This record gives sequence, structure tokens and C-alpha cells, in this order.
Amino acid sequence: MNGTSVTKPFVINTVLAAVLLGLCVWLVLFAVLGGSAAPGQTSAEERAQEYSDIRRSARAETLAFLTIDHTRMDEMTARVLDGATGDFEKQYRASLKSLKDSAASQESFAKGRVAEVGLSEVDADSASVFVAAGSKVRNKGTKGEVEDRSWRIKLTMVKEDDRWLVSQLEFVG
Amino acid sequence: MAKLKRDERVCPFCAETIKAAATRCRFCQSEVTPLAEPELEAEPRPPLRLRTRLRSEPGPAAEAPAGGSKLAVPSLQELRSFVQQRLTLVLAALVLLAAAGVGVSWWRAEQGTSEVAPDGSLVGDDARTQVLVAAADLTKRTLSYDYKTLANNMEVARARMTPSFRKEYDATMKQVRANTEKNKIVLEAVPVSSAIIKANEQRATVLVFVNQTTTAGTGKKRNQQLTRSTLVITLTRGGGDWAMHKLTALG
Repeated sequence: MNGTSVTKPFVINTVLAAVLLGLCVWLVLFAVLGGSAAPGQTSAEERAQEYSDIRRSARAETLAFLTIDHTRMDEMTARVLDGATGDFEKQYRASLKSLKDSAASQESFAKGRVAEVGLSEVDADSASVFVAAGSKVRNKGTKGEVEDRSWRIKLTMVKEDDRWLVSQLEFVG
Repeated sequence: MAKLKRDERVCPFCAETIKAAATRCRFCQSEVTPLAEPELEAEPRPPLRLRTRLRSEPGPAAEAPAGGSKLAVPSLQELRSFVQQRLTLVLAALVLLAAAGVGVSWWRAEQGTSEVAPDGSLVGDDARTQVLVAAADLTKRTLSYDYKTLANNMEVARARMTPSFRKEYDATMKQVRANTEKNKIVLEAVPVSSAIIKANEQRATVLVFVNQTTTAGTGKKRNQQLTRSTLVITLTRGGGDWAMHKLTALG
């Protein structure tokens, strides 16, 4: 009886001290990291994550769209179609044959680049994205010279099965 | 006194050696309080008993060395348990306090940052719309002017610039001013799109597509030219409105 009366408060105090230490560490994390110390994702974190997903998809699809290699057109176009949906996918599919034909006849090469990606309106499952892009083009028309071209592109993106896909691609005049 | 056995004590009245458990002195017949408990040291409540004994036996015999050592052990124990109890209370209070602190921080993280993500980026719809509108508006102000109202146009533009950008703007306008007035130039910038590259509460970088119409001269000599530009502009905010901080044209 003597033993338990000494150990019991000792155990309680040890547990309390451990809990206190844990809570203090957590508070320090809040002070240093801010909201990300909260377990799980806050709605703001989810949105920030969404923005970066949109950005990444927009960049990848623009690069795929602007990059042409007449020797590997099947692979090139498959990459574009992978990130496409809706009207854009339909239009791109419809122009596949002529695209491949002209790339072959012109012996086209184009290397795309994305300078900046900006987000305009963003909803839960749709987004307007503007891209400052460019491409270095070489084909029969340029007589073997590399031409640098700049593009102002507007992408309309939609979220399907947790992926952001391009449903419309327009060149801004 | 040193010869006292464990079960013996001294009568406080006649100073003769008697049994510790005795209730009456066998020498002087005085009534004495029994003490006899050889396992006294293990008893957890002796302080109370000791105190009663001291009260009923005020004689010098009560100060026997055995009694003294009996006093020290339980009071140490008592002290320890007292401290432990207090420590438990203090720790419990601190745990509650810390838990409340964590709770408040967590709640703030869930509620307070709906406009701003933990990394500082602006995610609130209203705040982002403000940035988009400010970027388009400030681009238009900075890149539009009319030779007839040049001073006024410049004043409007300068009002929403950071000091460093204002200096840059003034230097540029100083160069174009004479030409603008001489050739009757009207510059009209129309932002066709405005999109956020990155933004936090104090600083935003925005991609703006602008179509700029330059009209030189009037009447029949009128000459118009359209330029399509891609601009990256940086806005800063010192608490109030967004101001133009930097403007870069992409090739």
C-alpha cells in the first residue's frame, strides 16, 4: 500500500509532464510554421494545392502542344491528347491527320517553352489560365533556320477524375 | 536511557522504565498514554499520533532519540506527497493552458486562413479578384496617355506607384513627353487578360496581356498602330491599395 501511494502520483505527474511537453512542442510548431501545424489540410492549403496542380497541368499541356517532331508525331500527339478533353480534344483529334501530314511534308521541328503561367478565375472544377509561351521552330518554310515565336495562350481547364485537363485552347489576339 | 529496549519507555511522571504499551505506570500508578507499536516506522500516519503524544507527554522523555527519528521519516514522506499533489495540480493547470493555446491556434488555422494559405499565398476569391482588377487597372493607367491631357494622365498613373517605380516612370515620360506633344500621340492600352502568377498579401506578380493602340497625328495624317504585349507586372501593397512596383515586357 505504501508503494502504490508513492508511485501513483508519480505516474500521474510524469504523464502530465509528457502531455505538457507535447503540447508545448505543438505550440512552437504553430508559432514557426503557422497553419500547417494543424493536422490535415485546411481549405486554404487545399486551394493552394489545387492552384499548383492547375499550373503544372497547364504548363505540361502547353509544352506538349507546342512541341513538334515530325519523326515522332504519334508520340507527340498522344501526349497532347492525354491532357485534353471536351472541345479541345475533339478539335485536336479532328486535325490529327492534317497535322501529321504537314509536319511530315514540312519536316517540322518545334521546341516549346513556357515563360509564365497565370491563373485568372478558378472554381472547384474549372479554371481560366493564361500562358506566356514561345517556340523555336524549324521547318522547310524557315529554310532550315530556327525561328523564335511568342504566343499568348488562353487555356480553359476542367477537373476530371482528379486531373486538370484542357478543354479549350485559344491564341489571344 | 540508552539501555531502553524497543518495547520500553520512561514514565513521564516518575522517570522509571516501563513497557511502552502500558496505560498505567507500574511504579507511580500514573496514567500514561500507550505508545507501543514497534512497527511505528512503517505506519503512514504517525505524525498525527506523534503530535498527540507530544501534547499529552510534555516531559523531556518525549524527546527521546527514537522518537526523533520517527518524526523525521513520516514528515519527509508527508512533504513529498504534498509536493506531488501540488505538482499534479500545477501540471494539470499548465496542460489545460497549453491545450487551450493549441486549440486556439488550430481554430485560427481552420478559420483565419481561408484567404491566405500557410505558405502565405493568397487563395481567397475576393482578394484574388482585387489583384486581377488592380493589375489590369494599373497597367492601363501606366501605359495610356493622350498628348492633350498628358499632365493629368501622368498624375493619375503616378498616384498608384511605388516610389522606385515612379522614378523609373518619370524618367521614361521625360524622354517621351516632347515627342508625344509634337506628334500628337495618343496611347491606349487595353488589358485583354489578367492572371495571377503568384500572390501573397503584400506582393503579387501578374501576367497581363495588353493590346496597345498608338495613334499619331490627327485628321488625314492620322496613323494608328497596334502592339500586342505580354507583361509581367509586380504589385505591392502596404496595407491600402495595390501599387505598381515593376513592369517587364516579355519578348
